[in-house]
Amino acid sequence: MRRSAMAALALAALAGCPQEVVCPAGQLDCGGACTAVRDDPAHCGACGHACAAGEACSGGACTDCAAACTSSRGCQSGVCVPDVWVACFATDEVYGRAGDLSPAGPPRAVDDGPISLAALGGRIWVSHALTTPTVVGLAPGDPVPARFALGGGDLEVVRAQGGRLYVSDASVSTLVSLDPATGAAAEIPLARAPGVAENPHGIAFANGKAYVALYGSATAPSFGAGQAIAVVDLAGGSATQLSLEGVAGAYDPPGFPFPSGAAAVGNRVFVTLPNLKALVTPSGTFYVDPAGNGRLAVVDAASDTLLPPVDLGAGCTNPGGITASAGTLWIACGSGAVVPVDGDTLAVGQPVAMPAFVVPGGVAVCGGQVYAADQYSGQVVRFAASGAPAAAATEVCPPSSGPYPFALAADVTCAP
Amino acid sequence: MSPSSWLRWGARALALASSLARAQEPRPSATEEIVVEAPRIAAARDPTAATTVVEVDRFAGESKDVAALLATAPGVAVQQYGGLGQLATVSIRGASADGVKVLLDGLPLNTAAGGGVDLSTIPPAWVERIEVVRGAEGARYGQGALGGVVNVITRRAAAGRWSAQASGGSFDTGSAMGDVALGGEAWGVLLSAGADATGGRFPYLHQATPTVPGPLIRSERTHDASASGGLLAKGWARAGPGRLDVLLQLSGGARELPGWPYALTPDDRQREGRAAGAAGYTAALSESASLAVQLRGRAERLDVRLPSAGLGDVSQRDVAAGAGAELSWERGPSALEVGVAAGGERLEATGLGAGRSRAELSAYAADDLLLGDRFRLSPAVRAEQVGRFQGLSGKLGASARLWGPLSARASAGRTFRAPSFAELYLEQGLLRPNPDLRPEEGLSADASLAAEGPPGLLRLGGFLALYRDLIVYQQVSFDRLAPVNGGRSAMGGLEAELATAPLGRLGASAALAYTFLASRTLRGGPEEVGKDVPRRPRHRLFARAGVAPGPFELHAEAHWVSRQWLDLRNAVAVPAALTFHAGASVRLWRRPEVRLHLEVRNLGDDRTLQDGFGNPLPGRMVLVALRAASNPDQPGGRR
Repeated sequence: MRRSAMAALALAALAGCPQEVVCPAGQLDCGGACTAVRDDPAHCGACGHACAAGEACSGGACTDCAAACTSSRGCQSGVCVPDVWVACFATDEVYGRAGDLSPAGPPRAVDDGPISLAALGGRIWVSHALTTPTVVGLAPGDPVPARFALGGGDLEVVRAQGGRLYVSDASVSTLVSLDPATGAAAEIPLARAPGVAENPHGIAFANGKAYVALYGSATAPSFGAGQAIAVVDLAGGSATQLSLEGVAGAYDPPGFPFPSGAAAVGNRVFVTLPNLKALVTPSGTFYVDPAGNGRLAVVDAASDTLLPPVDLGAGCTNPGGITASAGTLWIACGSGAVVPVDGDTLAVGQPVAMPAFVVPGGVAVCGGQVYAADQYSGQVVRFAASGAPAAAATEVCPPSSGPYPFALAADVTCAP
Repeated sequence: MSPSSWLRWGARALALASSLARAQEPRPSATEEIVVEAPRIAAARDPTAATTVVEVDRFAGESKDVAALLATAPGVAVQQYGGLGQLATVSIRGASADGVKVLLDGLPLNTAAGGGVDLSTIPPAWVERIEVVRGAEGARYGQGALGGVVNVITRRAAAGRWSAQASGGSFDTGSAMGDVALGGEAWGVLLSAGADATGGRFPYLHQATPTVPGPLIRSERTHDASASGGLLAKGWARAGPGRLDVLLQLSGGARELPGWPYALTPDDRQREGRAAGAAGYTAALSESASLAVQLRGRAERLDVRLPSAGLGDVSQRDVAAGAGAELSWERGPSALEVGVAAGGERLEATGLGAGRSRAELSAYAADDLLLGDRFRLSPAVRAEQVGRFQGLSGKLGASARLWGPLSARASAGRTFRAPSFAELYLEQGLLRPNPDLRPEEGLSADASLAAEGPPGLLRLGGFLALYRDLIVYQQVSFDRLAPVNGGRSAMGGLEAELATAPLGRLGASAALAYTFLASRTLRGGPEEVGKDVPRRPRHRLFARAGVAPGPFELHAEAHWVSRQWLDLRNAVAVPAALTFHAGASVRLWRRPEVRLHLEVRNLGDDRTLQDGFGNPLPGRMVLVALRAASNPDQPGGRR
């Protein structure tokens, strides 16, 4: 009681201090919440200006939802139901978009540094890379997100499989398995020894196992930490590793493979290998310089052996994001292209060039359209999986506020 | 208990009690100065300030470094980064380490590189007392003191005084130190030297799966060794109409940087060295006026190997020099001090581009007005130019004797902190510079009530602090951070301290320091505003009880730090930590006094303890020390 009284006294004294909510560009502070008045039917054009029932907010004006919404899922309760979702790293938001990337409702605030998206159980699940190691689940029409706090940090990738979420907890080198319905969780250590930072990234599933790309140190790589693929027995909860050290064609020494994204087709698991070498600058050494063409590690999930890697060609260096759709792998290349690879024949298709200055990271295929999120801006690029040339980029993520605004579309995924 | 023991314990307690209640002391005069401090900067210069003095003699023979000594004061939070000789910084009233000015005999240890002061680099062998001044104290101590000031005072050059101590214990930890003072009526010299080292290998319990805690894994901390040492020489002499003070400090050390348990960095390490010197001359101009002039200089080097961060070898060289003059004038109820100081600092560092230099100039005035028998008023103002940054600091303090043992004091102040060279110019790893930064600003107000008398001292106070334009690192791209003036926070709370004189036949004594700190983020995203500021626990408690029957002494300590948040959204917490320490000593010889000390830290052997960054802290640690010292009742002995 005494402690509460002291706290109340001190907090009451602090309550008189003026507070300032800092919102992303284009948003207003409506009662302590950052609000996109261009898209929010509860605050359309201005704080407190609510649209009538059945109306959507488009460009700051109330309009008939059915007329304004181009989503294939139409409107629900006056809100356009998105076809795709985009994680906006700089503003801590997730934006829903129609298939043509036109607006579909207001953005949803999430935690610090949304980095990866997965769809499960009618919700979009978001993992975070910065100060809050949380996985947040958003449901269209439900303003209250589900939230699970993990014990590590830098939750690089979240993926869904078999009704569970799997999360790469990069800062502590574990794979967390989470049942969002019950909150029950399991955690599997991936480190080959205590204190070894494996830096897990991409996750794929095949043959009852999870395969996790172990990126290793981005600043001081060695084959003693990361640079491998973890094979996780989901039933037994144990992990082994497939080292890429010395694997012919996986990287060009003195570069390192840096296993990054992962996807599976049938009984094969594919892991993108950026194949990077050191770039020495006055401010430090960074492994961002391609040592050669991007590579694709191939794992036979039946035997858990590495098959010969795939050379993604000169049109694809520094590959990262990868997704599989209808037997085709779509790989985002840091050189500014998305490359299709046949998951059966392993034939590398013609790179689809991105618009100028777009560096694709996250990639998804939804409704026959390929979406690539730009790591250097808030844009998302869309093109038909059937091979049409890339469309112009669409701005989705707004820039952050402050003297150094930046925007980053960290990931994109299909609506559940 | 023998009469001499009573005398010693009584003297210690009274020294503590009196230093905690300087508002009731008569004004210090130039003629009674026997303490070598060059330049003459001490907490006593503002008797209305919220001050706690930690007397090191109270902990003689114990293995307390400067960080551990500071943790016994209210309003103070020490951030450890692994313990055992590793980096330790201090926060006062919620200000960051950059917002606390740390002085060693009045010489500022904060450099233009920024980042606060590493307390582990201050040799504990040198220290006689630590003055903690809480609040925005720039008017008297210069810019940078947003949360307060820590002034570490080295041993006095009191002729005939000497001590020597050797200790050793767990985890290959050991130290040796000694000091001797020589002199006469017109001169005095002190030499103090010390060295300490630790192997840094200690067992701890590790959670391999922090989301789903499983059985704790027994691990051993490795690559955690450190060693440091220092030499202090100081002296004074009457010269002409005044007194000359000189001071030379040399210190250095090396340590391994082990990384945190999930990402060990066995190849990271650092070395540092520091040389500082000062000379001051104080002369009486008349019966009521005196003039003090001073020169000071400092050179530091830091070499860090950080291969884990892709940075390779990182070096830093910092050189600073300055001069100042202060005129003190007592007239009637007023004791006025006016002064000017000028200096310059140059920093060369990896990632800083060309070497950076800046000049500093300040002018200040402070008064101490006695208003009748009971009241005093202490206004102070300082104008400063630091490179291209300008700022004003002001302070108004008041104190009053109320009734009997009761007294009260209050103060309010404003100051600023100029951006560091690292914040302005450093381009290294993930960090980007921002040459457009503005100074941070700190405002504070506090008041306290104290009761003091022969049994001891009890003080209870409250404070409010507002920090504006705080420089915080903000994400400017996926993998780059840059500093911006984006932070604003408020702090409020209570500070309580208790110290008793030895009581009864057992010589029982107690000490307590408690801090309640409510913090609030005032600027940020909607999920951040209104939340607690990260790494600002609401409660901190230090409690100590001891007995000293005859030649024996026993004591026990408890340290409690409540839960603290690691992030602005208050989603991730570090749990509360409660640790106990205990110690005992026995006098083996009376003249000179030789004592054997036994100390047990982390009595409960909690091997799950972590600092605020997830680094493991040592479990139970046993240390044995043998200490010999000149007797307190001998000329030049402790008093």
